[in-house]
Amino acid sequence: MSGGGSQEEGHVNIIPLLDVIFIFIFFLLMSVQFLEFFEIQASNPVEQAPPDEVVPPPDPKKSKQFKLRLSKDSIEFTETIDEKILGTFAYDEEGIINLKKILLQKKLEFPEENAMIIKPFKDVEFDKIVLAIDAAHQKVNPEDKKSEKAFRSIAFEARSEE
Amino acid sequence: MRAPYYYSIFQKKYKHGMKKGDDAFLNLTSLMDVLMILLFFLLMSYNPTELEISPLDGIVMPQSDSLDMGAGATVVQVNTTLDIFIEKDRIGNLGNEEDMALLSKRLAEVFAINKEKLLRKDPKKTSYKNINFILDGKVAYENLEKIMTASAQSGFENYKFMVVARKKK
Repeated sequence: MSGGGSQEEGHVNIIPLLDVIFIFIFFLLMSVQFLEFFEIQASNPVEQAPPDEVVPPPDPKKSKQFKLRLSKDSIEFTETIDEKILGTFAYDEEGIINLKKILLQKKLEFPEENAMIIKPFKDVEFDKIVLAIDAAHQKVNPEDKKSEKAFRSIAFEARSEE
Repeated sequence: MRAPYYYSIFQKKYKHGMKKGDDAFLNLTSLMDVLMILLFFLLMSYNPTELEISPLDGIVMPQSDSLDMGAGATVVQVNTTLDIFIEKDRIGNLGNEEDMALLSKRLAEVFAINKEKLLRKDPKKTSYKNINFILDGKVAYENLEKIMTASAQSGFENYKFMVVARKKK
């Protein structure tokens, strides 16, 4: 026995600690969600300007308007100003990887462009729309979770009858 | 003689040797271990937002890579049979024109109530314009567009689609 003191053992009173932990656990149990839910933001459907309306065109050197046209089997990536098709991709894993690559490439080419217009056909399922939005929302630097989204602003184009 | 701390008070065989006035100790170490593990597990799954999501039975939400935490807002749900719900109240079916009119009317009522309630709390807040959509992954865009149009006409401008985290392979 060190110091020749009392033979009785010293005890730490852990009862208050237990009380706190129980309250903490109760509070956490009340707010726990076993499925992880997240959100995807989108804006109102955008209408194309009527043909007689004069809209100043954006500077083509700084900005391009990109659009993803979704059909039941594929995603078509287009530049709306030049009406140029940049690629067509299937919804499979390889197609989505290729779409992400070209989206990232265009983002690096036009860093000021933040918007992506989504134009799905009427029979496209919501699952596929989310796949396309995920591709547009990919991180500019995939290894850095805090880096910005490639195209953070998503808007649906009002559908013409197709 | 004082009983060693690892003697359980329920173990009578150790009691007979105790003198009157001796303290009995409960071994709380294992309980503390369990509670700490539980606490850690709950902290990992804690959701700090005010969002409370309870999808209706039969709705399979799409999986996404999104990591944006949701916020509380009016919730519209659509299942595979295209039944529409505001929160958990069934409004009707997307295939029925009359039900769509009813949906617009109900959404406008909810919007007015939310706006008044939130602006009374904080006049700068605009979160009353938020609307959360919980849709089954198989719902076609033509139906999604109907809901978005009805929501926009009722005053809801910020659409948020609720998704679940993609399962890692």
